[in-house]
Amino acid sequence: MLEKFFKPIAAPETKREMLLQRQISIIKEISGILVSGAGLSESLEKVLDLVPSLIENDLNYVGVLILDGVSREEYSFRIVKSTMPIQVEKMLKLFTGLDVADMPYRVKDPQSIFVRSVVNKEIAYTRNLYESFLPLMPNKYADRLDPVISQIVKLLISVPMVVDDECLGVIGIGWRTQSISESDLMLLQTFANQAAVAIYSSRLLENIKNEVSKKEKALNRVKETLRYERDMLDILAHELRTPLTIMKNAVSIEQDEINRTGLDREKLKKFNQIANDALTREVETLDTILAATRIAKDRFENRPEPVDLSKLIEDSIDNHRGLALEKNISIEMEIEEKITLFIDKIALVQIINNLISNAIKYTNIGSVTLLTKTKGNSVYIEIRDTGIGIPKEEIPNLGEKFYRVNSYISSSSAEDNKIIRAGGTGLGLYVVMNLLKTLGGEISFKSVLNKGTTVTIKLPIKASRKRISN
Amino acid sequence: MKKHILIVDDEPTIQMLYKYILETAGYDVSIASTGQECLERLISDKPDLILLDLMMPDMNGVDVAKEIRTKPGKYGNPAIVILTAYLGENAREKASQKWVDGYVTKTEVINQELVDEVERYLSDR
Repeated sequence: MLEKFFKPIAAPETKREMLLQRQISIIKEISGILVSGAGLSESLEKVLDLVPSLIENDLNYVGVLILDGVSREEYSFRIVKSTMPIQVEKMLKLFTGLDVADMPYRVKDPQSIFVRSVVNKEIAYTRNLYESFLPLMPNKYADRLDPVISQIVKLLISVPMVVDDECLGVIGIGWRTQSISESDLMLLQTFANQAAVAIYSSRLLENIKNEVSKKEKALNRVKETLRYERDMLDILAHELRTPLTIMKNAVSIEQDEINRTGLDREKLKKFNQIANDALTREVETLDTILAATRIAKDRFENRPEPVDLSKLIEDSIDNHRGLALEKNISIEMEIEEKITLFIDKIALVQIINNLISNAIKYTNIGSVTLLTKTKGNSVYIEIRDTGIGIPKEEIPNLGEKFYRVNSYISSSSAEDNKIIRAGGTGLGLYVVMNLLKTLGGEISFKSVLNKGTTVTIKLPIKASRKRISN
Repeated sequence: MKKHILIVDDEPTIQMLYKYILETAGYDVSIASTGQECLERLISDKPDLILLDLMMPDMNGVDVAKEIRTKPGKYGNPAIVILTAYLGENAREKASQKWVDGYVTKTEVINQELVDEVERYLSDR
């Protein structure tokens, strides 16, 4: 329609000139693809669209086959684009059950048309089409397809796509006529090489994009780690400062009260208890951090000595009475018999302290119960609570350094506002589990959400001397 | 009329101590343990000032402050003072945001100093 309004600048006069103009415009278009930064499949789409416009009217099939790999026995191609007469496509689907685009194309015969053009980097042609679709299906189907295709395509040529002396694949073109002109062949070869550059550059671009995204991911991981460590330091500082705040305020209130009203024994007792509990908590937190440091540096020396287990548990419970009282939780003890262990006392105290304080921390109503049982050369210590429980899927993660069960810090459980600061240092179970390893002990968890958790540790009554190993 | 202060901290002992200190100084005091509870208390108690812990289990103190400041019709316009356990870089950066009136470092400010700070922020309004 536009020709009506616009006069072409120079009307092509000879066939040769027309060809030249077409060639120029195609090359321009391919240059366009080159600089467009399009993805591989998009580039190929355009490549394919351009082929029919190159030659007038007498081709009937265009396919782009990318060379995927070469082994000693075979060449494997990927059919990325293919235009087939609809009846052929239907037959192929019927025979193979696959769409053309999904068909692997593997050729063993070195004389086969596509392989010849790949190896020689030259245009190859054949009038015997049978061989070209043999790799796609068994002979009996090929026999039936042959007469159909032979009606439509008289000549098949394979144009290699070469860049930098490397053949990336071929463009297969089926013709209605028996022969084509030399100039058309030259044009196709130029075109195919341009297409190769387009494919090559988009591959390069994709590789670069992949590299960039890999680097970005790595950078994000580093950033994440740094942020995580900064948060952990904040939390540790918070955990160490909070008991100090409590102690300072409690003692200072005592001072004010003494100045103002004299000695009110009840009040003094109350604030003394608060300061004392805060002190216990501070010492425990420090012990845990120091133990974690020693574990990380592999500097834990195991020094076993005879330990009265029931006495040790009683002492540990006494240290946590204030905390439990504050939350209205009772602590119960069912110790089977008097047991003497030969074990590192400091490590065991830390283990029991941590487990009791965890049990209280995650329990809002009810009780914490400690039980012991002996069996053979082992003693089992159970710490049972009626707390919020641990989700099943979180149990395998317990004991990782700085690990906190997600639901304890998420907002959903925050409605349960009596939970003391989510998580503490995040080092408690890490220390417990590593110390247990040194003592030759074991730990197991049983938990029902909103019903409670039972932690069982198993210890040898006569522990052997060994150093911790990571 | 007595001024009303809302203490928002997830640590029961700190709640108790601060309540004691501020009540002794003559304020009405109510308590919230989480960010969510703080928002509810703001509607029901209409405090003049809130002492807001920076690290809570459900929300960050600054996020709570932002929520309050962006919805004055709902939550009123109390003075907001952030409580921090210590003045780490992180806390300083967070607390100096435009949503809050100031911050108090828990370990550095005790009893009378806390009362003085509270009075200062109340009189600034």
